[in-house]
Amino acid sequence: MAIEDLLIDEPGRILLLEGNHAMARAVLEAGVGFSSTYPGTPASEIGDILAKVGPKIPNFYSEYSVNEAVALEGAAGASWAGIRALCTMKHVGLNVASDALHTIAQTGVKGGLVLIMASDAGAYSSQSEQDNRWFSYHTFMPWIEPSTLQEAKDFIVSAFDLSEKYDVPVIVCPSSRICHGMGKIELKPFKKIPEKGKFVSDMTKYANATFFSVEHKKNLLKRIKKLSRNHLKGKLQKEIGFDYNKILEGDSKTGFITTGVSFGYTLEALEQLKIFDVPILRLGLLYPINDNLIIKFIEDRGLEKLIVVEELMPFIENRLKEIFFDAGIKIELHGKDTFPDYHELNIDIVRDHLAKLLNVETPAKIKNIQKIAKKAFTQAPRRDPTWCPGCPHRATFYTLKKVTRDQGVYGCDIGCYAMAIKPPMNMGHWIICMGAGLGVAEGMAHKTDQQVFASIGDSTFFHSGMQGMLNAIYNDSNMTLLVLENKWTSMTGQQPTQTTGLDSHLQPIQPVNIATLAKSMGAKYVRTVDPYNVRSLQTTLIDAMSRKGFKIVVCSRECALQADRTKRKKLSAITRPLPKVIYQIDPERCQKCKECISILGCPAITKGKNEEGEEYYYIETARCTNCGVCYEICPNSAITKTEINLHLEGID
Amino acid sequence: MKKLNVQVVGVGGQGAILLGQILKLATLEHKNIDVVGTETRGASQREGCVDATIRYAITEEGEEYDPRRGVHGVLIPTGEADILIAMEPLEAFRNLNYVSEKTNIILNTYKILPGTVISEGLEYPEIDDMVEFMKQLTDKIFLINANELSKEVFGDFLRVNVILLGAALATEVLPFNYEEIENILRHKFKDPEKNLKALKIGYDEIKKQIS
Repeated sequence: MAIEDLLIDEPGRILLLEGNHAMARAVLEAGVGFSSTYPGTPASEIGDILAKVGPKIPNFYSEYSVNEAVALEGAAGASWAGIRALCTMKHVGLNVASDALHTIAQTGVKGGLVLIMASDAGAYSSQSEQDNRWFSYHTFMPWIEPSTLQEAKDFIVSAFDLSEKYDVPVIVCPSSRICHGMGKIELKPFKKIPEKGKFVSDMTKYANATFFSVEHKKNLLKRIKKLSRNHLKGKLQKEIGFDYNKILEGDSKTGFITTGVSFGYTLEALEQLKIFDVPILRLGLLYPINDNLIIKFIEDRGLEKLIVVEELMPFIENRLKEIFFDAGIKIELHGKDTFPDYHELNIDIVRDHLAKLLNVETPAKIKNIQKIAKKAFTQAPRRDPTWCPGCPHRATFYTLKKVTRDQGVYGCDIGCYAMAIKPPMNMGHWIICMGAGLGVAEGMAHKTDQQVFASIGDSTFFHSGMQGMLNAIYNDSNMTLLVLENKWTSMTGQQPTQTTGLDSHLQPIQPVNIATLAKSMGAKYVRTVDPYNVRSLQTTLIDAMSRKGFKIVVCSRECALQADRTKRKKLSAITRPLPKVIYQIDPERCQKCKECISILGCPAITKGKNEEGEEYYYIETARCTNCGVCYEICPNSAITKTEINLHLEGID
Repeated sequence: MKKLNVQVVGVGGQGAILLGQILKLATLEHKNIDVVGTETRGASQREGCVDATIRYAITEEGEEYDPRRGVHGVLIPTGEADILIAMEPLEAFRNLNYVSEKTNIILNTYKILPGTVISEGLEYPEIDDMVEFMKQLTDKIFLINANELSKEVFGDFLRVNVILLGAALATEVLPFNYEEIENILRHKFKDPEKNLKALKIGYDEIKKQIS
């Protein structure tokens, strides 16, 4: 699927799209003029797509912002100038944006303001699986949850109408399974994006100083009550053209209330249990919840038992209990007494728990498969993700481990380098949130004589490490900060960062120099090293360890994956012979000490068996990126470097 | 309505994602086939396991779409895969939860050793033992060394995924015919000649085993 297909203006056309691509398409269908994001998986691709196709959309602006708070503030700015604005982030990004969010909510909007906030139940790409739905209670912002990819796009488009009608930002929350799911998506017509807006000053709206802030909150509560009332009366449904909630009818006295992807899991689990007659209420608008709809759902059908299926915390379930208490409804209610309140749900989990609740059996066949599959799974050797061949992080952590004799304290952060916690490094002693590797190290260093290190990637450094560094410099914390400057936001898919020298749309721009920044903040010990140069990094780290106070070492080397891609692109255009470097292991000299394979752990080095059946180690040339780190660290000089065609002109 | 599930499992760089996309793209020509699915991203360059899921809901002519019998979840429930395309033998073994007596397993016998086997000395089970173990769940296991075939004909491993796609087509379980997949390869992807050849290699290899 070419991403340009997203620009097709053919209402009714069906495309095969990933959820994140479908949500990016909403920009065109809602007439959004501004979009901002900080990359966060599972939502990263929404921003990536908009960065790529954005320049082709008239009057549309998109950016990778430095963090989620700044991204949200920028989106609010566009909204207040009267332009529809979208801000996308992952669930924990909302923590970063939370301060701004609470006040922007009560301030309201001019152009529609919508946040896409992707949840990550199961924490497949996150440090926690927090249930963000509680933010709606806290901020009074409408909360919408789609069940399908089509809904994800259409709900976002409608959320802009909702936002403008009720003067409030709206959150649309797709689960990670929606973001990375794929399906058929029907396109809807474009909406025109205005060229420019205009900010009209109104202190009683935008200035949340003490004397206004409670008034603003009261006004917001009024607007949300009106929204709620209109929803009860069916007026809101007319205003936006459809209903976020829906009911599947059935004659059973056991009813279901569910939301988001849990709706589909419930349907398929019931099918497997051959139950087709239960009425199901699917809530799409979770806040403000429609009390009347729920009461009618139960009373009209004379339900005796109600089962709530939702991921993570009992958000809907607790709200139901409030509603039932107020309305004097007594009904058998099941939710988190049955279903787990951790990890994501899926068809299997919902089916197995429902079977218990409904007194039916999970088919014996399924139990047998689960037993056999589990046995195989536990016997299969793990296939751990690791750093790519040539990753500069490998060289950095290897060297750090060596010079500290593994006796240091190593604070880690969020990024590819988090894989340091895995074998063979086993080095990240804590991972908390963006910036906390450094923040925690700063405090710890005041209270221990151990050698304290913190590592942080450049993108994370700009996101939330700069304040921590200023704090560590100003309080002269006795620690060493390693900024792993690989010039890209690699973990989330190679987005440019402030050191790349390219803007959001990959156009050249002046990069930020981290060493200069540190010096201007008052850092006295500032060094920049290429981690491929192991000796130089070693000497620098030993030197840094011998000094008191705050030290910063910028380990600067481009992400090997990105560098390799750029190189391949260049090479594909050249047919003439080029100079070449080949690293090989000399089997005669190799002592099989495993330094390169088990301690450095480069995946381009592997082992085979020769004709005599003897094991030997070798470098897979096709996978080797020629970083030369193994060549430098081999204790037996068994790795050879062959340079050929040196007389020819290279490509760099 | 009929459901049909295909699970692709493999290792980064083998082209599992592309294989999954071809199987999803094919539905665009069929109004009566709904499709959902997913793909692992990001693990591909990082030595991790990679998979792609394709779930079809096929409505017969004159039949109305019934959400209670449709496909919704992007993951296949236990035992419900109609085809498991295992691009690497260990990955088939790791993912037997998708397999039951109805499952056709297309098993690429070319091994890719995990880092844990190389550096930590964990044991990679014998392929014969793994296949024997799988027979507890299904008899329909088709072995093919797609890497060797790809190397033999094209000189590299780049067509392994398309060879395995041809192999999957030979089971005649998929809701598309051979020509439809050929058309997609011809119009939507690079190197159509090589891909069409690879498709046929895989198809013929499995047809030989079936007959």
